[in-house]
Amino acid sequence: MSDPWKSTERRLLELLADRAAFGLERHEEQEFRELLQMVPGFDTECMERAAATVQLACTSVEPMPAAVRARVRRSAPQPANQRRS
Amino acid sequence: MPPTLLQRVADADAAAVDECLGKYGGLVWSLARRMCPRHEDAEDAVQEIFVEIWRNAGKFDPEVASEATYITMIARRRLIDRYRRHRRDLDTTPLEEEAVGSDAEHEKWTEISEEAARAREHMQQLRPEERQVLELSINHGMSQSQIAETTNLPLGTVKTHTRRGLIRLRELLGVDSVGGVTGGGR
Repeated sequence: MSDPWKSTERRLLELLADRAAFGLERHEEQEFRELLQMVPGFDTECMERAAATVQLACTSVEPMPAAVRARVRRSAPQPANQRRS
Repeated sequence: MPPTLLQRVADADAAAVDECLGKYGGLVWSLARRMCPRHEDAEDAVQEIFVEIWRNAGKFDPEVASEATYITMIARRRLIDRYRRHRRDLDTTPLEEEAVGSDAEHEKWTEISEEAARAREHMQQLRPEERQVLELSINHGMSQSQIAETTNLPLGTVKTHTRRGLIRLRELLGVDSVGGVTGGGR
């Protein structure tokens, strides 16, 4: 007999995988939200991390140009203003 | 255990912002260049991504992911949002080459390279067909139908390989879906 918790988790993982790779259709988003209510605390970022691993494996890192870095640095708020809320 | 760089950013360490830019600026820039059609778009994207990184630094958990993975995840999320907003402008024209950074920066890229090498090791443990569809979807941004056309695989098979590949990667990363590190799936 199948374990309903496991099948719910499995479906959630499938939807999270689809979302990380391709995005979800509206009806899939709805299904995802409904299933998520059945599994409180489910790690909804697990597939995004897996996708990030793929991206990291495929990315050839090149230096950020100094001008871009300076622009980003200028626009960065002071760290003291960015404490977690 | 000393705090990670992102934990220091979250704890208002004044030097941590600069260190973070030095260590991960190249990674974020490279991701932005891949997914943004124009140089100025890539610049804007990098700025947006780092603002997100500052905001979310306190949520980083070294037990769940490496800093490079966490930053890549934030960058992807922001870049996909931008891509969807500007989809009509999509253009695959490669961007011009940029200036090379300092030797000190090169050390940081090496660290990222080691992280990337670990990611590639994980990828090598997938089936070739899973690896292929994941590279096409995640690295090249192809839709399911584009991948099906490119690989001559049925649409459903593309979806199955993608799911299996990502679920397998999640297991290889050793993180349980309900909040903890387990060394494998349930």
